[in-house]
Amino acid sequence: MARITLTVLVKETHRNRFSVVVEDCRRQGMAVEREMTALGLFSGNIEADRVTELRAVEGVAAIEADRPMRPC
Amino acid sequence: MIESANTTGRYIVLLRQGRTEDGIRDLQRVTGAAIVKSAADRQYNSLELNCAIVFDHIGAALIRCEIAAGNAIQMASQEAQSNILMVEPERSVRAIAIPSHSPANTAQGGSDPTATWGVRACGADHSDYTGQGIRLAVLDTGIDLKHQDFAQRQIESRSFVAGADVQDANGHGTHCAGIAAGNLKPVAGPRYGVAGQAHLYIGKVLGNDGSGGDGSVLDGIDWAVGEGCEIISLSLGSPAKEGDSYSPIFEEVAKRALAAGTLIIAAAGNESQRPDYIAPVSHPANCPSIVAVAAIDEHMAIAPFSSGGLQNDGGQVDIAAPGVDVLSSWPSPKDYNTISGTSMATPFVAGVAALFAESDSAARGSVLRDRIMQNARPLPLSQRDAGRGLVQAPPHPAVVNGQSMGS
Repeated sequence: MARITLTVLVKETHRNRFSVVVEDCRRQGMAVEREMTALGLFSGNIEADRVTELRAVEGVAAIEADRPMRPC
Repeated sequence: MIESANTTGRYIVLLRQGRTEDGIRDLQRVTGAAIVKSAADRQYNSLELNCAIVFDHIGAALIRCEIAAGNAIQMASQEAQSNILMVEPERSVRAIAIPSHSPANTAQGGSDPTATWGVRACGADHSDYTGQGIRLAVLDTGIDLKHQDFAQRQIESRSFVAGADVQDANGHGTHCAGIAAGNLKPVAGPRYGVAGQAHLYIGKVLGNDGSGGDGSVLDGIDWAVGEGCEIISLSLGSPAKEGDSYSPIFEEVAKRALAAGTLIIAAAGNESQRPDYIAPVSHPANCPSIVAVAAIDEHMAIAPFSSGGLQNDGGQVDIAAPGVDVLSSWPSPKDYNTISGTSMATPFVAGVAALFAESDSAARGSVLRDRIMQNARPLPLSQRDAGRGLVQAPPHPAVVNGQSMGS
């Protein structure tokens, strides 16, 4: 199964439990690469068919697949 | 100035914002023109020699005069404190192509060696502010840390691209950083930077090949917010399709940044091919809480490539800035380069934001955004293309937003 790179936004109400949310997502198979604590999000990759389980993790507000960026 | 078969023998003169009367007086002084009419008269076609029509709302005038007088206006526009900002022959057809690449003249502002056309168009050269004490983040391909104009500056930097250091081997990041905060007096050539004394935070979020993704950009935003940057300049994006909604994650990130006192400014995108095709504003500039910047040329026309505000709810263009034939810094040994894009327009707005932030310590986050928008200069362009108009620097403490402002 292919892995996809994505970003996970932590709910405002769960930002004081940021590391717990990260750990719960790791347990669902996400390889976390960046933790962005000032804004309350983290990014990494996971097998594409496990994204649904990630959405169910408590404290997860939104998940988006990585878009390519380029200079304008 | 070039006269050709496509010009009409009349000149369009742009006057300093809020100084229209002084500008008209200067115009009469240098040309000998006596009769001035209001634009309400609508006598455009029967304008007599040595007469001018004033467009009060946009602070411009249309004048018919001899070529010698036209040249005198041009000379006056290059005086240090002139109320005449720029002059050009009126065209009989609307220019639709990107002006030719002419760094020797266009980009450096005619024969004026002191500042580029972009710096002058946004009024930064006459501002009392320099961005001192303001932290301005440019998230791009990095910067040439050894560049002659940056080697002496205190710059905070970090790379968010695996395996690459901050040193810019692309050029795009060095160019954008130069526009936002290049030195007030560069080693060579005209002034090209807006907020020359801002504290630069350079985050490398695009590789030297120009590629990157949401993850590295968000990482860079997080760093800049954590460092207390008042402004983040994003000259990057991902094209959006018409009907696409904005990213909920970037929108929430932008809101959290605003709440922390950080304003994010982003390029509207270069996907249009005007006049045939207008593309929607790119991601992430299409987020409601991110300022979307369009590009205009030296003649105040919309750049053919500049994306348009085709959608509501964040998809609008918020403001316009110089983005065609813009001269700025480039990695050595080239040192300077002239390029075009909404990427170039974005750091003009970021630099002006730094000037406003310096002018008023209460101007942070959404207050800073509103201040920039309220002070934009209306242009004879649609809101779809140019938003509220041309970004304008705060000139003096007494006239910021029409109120007395302590610094």
